[in-house]
Amino acid sequence: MKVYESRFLIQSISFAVLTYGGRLGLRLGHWLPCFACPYVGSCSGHCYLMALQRSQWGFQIPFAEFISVWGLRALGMFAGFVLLTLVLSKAWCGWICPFGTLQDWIAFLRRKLGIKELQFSWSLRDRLKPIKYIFLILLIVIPILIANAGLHSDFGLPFCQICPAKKLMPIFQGNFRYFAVDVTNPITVFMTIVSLILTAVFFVGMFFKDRFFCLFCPLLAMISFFDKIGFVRLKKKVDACTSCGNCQRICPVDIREVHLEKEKKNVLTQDCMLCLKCVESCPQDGVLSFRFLNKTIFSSSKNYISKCFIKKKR
Amino acid sequence: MFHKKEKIESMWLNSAERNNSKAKIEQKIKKEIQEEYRRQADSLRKRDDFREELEYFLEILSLPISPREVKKRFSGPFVGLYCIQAPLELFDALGFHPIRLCSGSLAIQRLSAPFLPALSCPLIKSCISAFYLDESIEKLCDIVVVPTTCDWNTKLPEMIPEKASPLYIMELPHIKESERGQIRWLEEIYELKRFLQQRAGRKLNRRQLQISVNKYMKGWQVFGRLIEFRRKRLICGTWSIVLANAFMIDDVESWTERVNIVLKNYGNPKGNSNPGVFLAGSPVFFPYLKISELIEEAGMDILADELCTSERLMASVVYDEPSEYGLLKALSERYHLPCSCPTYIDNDRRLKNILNTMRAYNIKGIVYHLLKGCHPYDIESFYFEKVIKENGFHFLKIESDYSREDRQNILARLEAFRETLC
Repeated sequence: MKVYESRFLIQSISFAVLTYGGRLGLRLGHWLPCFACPYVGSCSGHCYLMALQRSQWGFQIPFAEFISVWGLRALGMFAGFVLLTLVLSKAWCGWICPFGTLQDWIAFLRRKLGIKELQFSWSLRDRLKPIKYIFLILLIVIPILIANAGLHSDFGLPFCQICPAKKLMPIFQGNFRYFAVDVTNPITVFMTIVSLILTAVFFVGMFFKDRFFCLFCPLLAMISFFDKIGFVRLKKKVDACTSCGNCQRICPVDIREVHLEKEKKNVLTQDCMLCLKCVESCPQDGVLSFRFLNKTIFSSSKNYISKCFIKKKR
Repeated sequence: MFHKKEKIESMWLNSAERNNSKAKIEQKIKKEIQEEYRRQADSLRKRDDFREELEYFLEILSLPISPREVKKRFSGPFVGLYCIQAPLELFDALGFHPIRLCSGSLAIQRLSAPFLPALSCPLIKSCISAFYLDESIEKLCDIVVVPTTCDWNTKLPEMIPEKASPLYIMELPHIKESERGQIRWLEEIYELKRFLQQRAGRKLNRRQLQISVNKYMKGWQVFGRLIEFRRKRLICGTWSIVLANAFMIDDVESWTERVNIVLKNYGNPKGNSNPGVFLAGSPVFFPYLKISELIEEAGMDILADELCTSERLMASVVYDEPSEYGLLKALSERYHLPCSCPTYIDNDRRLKNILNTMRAYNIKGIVYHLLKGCHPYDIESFYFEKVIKENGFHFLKIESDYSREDRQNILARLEAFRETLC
């Protein structure tokens, strides 16, 4: 089975399991390193970002309670997240995340229609990179301020409030409730309007650009902290690379490093989501390889390209 | 910008052969050219490893001496190409037949010798001369596409006669791994597309372009197998170069089919243990196969090369954006990024790739072929020599041109080089 086919299959299964698995009583925990949105009533596991912002396992807690049972609970949750991240690293994004899968499906539609993908200049692409860290800092700082500095509690779960997945994923359960503007008070009105605008921007964005949301995803930023110690590696044989540019062009998140790298052997970069399209598209035998615990799982080859990218019939 | 035709003719008549009439000389030169092509083809036919399936490629390579045959064989309109940067798939999709206007003919050079610098690149000399024949592939072409690779190509428009085929210049960005270089080249591809659409009188259809890309990918696939055969010494270097040369003239589908047939029936391991060498440097094109033949005569196998008329001809195009933009971007990158012509500035991967291939196939020496007057390769050869030797490999630079006089001399040097490899 070709890599992109198995990826499609695994993505579809994960989407079904994480979106509807709850109905079958499946409970995978609150530590998942992917956008398994807790607002989908039938979901079988929760995105770790929510746990991180909550008072139960996250930062919305008075400083005094940091060293207490709470601390242990939060640490346990974090350990679960780290363990899952170490094992699969970014494969969570490229192979499992239901929100990523949704984006891939939407982009597939664009391709079928032959519409040009939105192009970002190299400098714009680089300037977008820090935004995910800003999101990450805010989603930690705001809960701390709520618990310690008297910030209004309606700012609680700040990232979930503005996250487009909260609006889009429940649709698969027939739930459009989160599109409503919450008129409880000015804060909720403000937050829901911001979230509606962001959802609209991201929805249009993900049609015209592959994995548009992933460019800003704070969870991806968190996962990438563990790239260096994880079990997963994306290796490059730099001397044999002919610089054909296939990997750079085919990358959904416009990573240039895999193509341009001439010294370092590890090319798993911050934004990479291990979709392995670069490995699939590399025509040099063994130049790019995907490794798990130092064992090569899949590596690039001429034969693979001949099999996958050349149509036999006209 | 162009020479006046009269001026050129007068120069030509004032040259060494002023006593003969123009037509007579041309007739004589034509005969010499035909003789040259025939002699080279015959010497290939006489080889032990000649097989019937290879005859097809010799026929294709002899086409430049009979342009009428070209017309009969392929459906035009024809586009002549210099170098390897113009995207073949684009021509194919718009119904043009692309032909690379390389030439390895010595006899033809006399036609342009009087008005070119004394130390001119032999390949350019031969190519330009063809424009002075009353019948040639060059004259058959509706358009001649010239990318500005080396200085010879850049000055080419000034060197060919005024009424020759219309030239289309593509400005090549010499820095590849920068955003502006890549954008610039994509713009050139778009501009070429517009120009070709105008000529063809129809719009580019992206489905048609996808079909053309697929055709060339099949060519790439079989070419990859040919290279594998060569590395395993199942087919010799000279034949690989002949097959690759033929790709530059032939229709891609029939070429692919024919190479497949060759690979099916060929492939007796020679069983000898000649030392392998890597052939680098200036292009080698039929009937100028002196270098590869002499290397083999001296008892070495050319297991790999990086010539723009051989292994560097093809690269893969993989795309997942089937929009017109996506396809053209894929093509622009395929013809720009992996090309390791020494005219590029950021070309450091080339040497690394060569060393990597040499290590992988246990090749101990490199023969650096240099055409006299080919400045980019010449300049680079010194640095090459240093790095190659530092890495523990042997290096031999051979400077030559299309003449036959230095054969013995080169053979002696190659034989000495072979001793160092054993």
